[in-house]
Amino acid sequence: MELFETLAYYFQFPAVRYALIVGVLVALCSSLLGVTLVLKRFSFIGDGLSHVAFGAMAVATLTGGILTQFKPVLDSTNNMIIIMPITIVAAVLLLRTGKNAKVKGDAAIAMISVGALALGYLLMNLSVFPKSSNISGDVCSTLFGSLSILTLTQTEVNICIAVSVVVIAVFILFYNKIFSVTFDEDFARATDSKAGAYNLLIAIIIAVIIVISMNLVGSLLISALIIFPALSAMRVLKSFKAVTICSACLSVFCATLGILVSILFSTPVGSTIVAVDIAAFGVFCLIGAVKGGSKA
Amino acid sequence: MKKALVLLITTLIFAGCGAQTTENKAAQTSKQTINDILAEQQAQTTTAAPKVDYPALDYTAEVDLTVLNSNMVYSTVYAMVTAPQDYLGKTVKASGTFDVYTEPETGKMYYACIIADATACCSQGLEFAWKGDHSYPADYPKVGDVITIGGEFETYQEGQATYCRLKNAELAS
Repeated sequence: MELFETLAYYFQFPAVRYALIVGVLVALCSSLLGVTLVLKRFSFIGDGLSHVAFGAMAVATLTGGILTQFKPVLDSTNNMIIIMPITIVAAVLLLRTGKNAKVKGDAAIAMISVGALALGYLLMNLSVFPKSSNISGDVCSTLFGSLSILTLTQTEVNICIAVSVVVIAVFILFYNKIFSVTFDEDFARATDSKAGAYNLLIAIIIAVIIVISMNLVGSLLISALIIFPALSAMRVLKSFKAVTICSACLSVFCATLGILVSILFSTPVGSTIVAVDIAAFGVFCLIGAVKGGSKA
Repeated sequence: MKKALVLLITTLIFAGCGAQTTENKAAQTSKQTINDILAEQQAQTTTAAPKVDYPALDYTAEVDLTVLNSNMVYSTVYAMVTAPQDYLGKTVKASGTFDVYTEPETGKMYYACIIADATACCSQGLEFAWKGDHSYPADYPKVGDVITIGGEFETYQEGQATYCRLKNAELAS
């Protein structure tokens, strides 16, 4: 009972309400595309792109820091303007990597992933920032999403709502096309001249989801948000539609539970959500085993 | 240089990550199992970091950070710093450790309450102006002493920057 009273008290704070709204939306969006990514054997692309987003954030912070020294008014420059295009370009490049590419898909992801991470941290430590700046704290928060979701502003929440609505609408509108490109890309290309465009669409949506997810679980943990719900659903269900719906519901449930637990018990938000996702995966594995096992 | 004040007052500061390591006594206790050694180390770590008891301050505040858990404290102080207009004129109560910063160019001193970090990663600080006449260091606590402060939230301008602090603050140490 005391827990509910504490929770009710904490919900009076705007930051907690913002966290829950953004958490649910991000979890929903990421799980929708998670099924597609897992089936296309692109589970790790989320990880690579999140590192690119981290590098892009460092560029945005650096750019903002330099510009602010000349024009203080530019202090309010929104980092999203820089992060989003860079991540989208990286997503397009990674997803368009063909079989004849000199650097194969997994190597390209690994290369971009670690490269962006290293350059991002390097840029964050450049001398443009005051020595008192909390670089380590910022990096820690960005990588692990320790508490960044509890520091959202009204504007950031509005942006997240708008982006989420667009992502969900696009997914519903192009559901059949995404389905066909996911299961047999070669067949889709042979029968539909726009298959390449749908792949591009998937790449853009993934990049957008990655960028908005950074606030929830941090760069290093985004993959968990994308993969775990999809894999859990695949343990017990077989059809694409059922897995997608189950994955979305499970992801929202885990994100909500994780946020509430972290608020109540002062645990890092991102890792708590991922821990709940892992627990849910274990439960679904058990259910799958009891049912006779479904192979993802 | 004034920006350096951010260290103490309005932004996050780095406090270092990672738990304190304990001395490995495995070599001396060859008959102990791994579990015994881990249990012993855990007990040592626990006793090395006792829970801090903050001094009580009879001060009724509209924003009482002392009753919030560390996540909520972090979130609320961040909101106070990034959207100070929402907290102007409100009374705030907080517990933490005392710290002081001297501006090298002007010699002016700034006093702050460094609030316990939320995730063993970052700490936050609130500047305060103690009510009444007090001289440093005679009247003030030592740097690092645990304190509880309560005061009215305000912003003030120095140079081109805007800073936050608690004015007319009361202090218990």
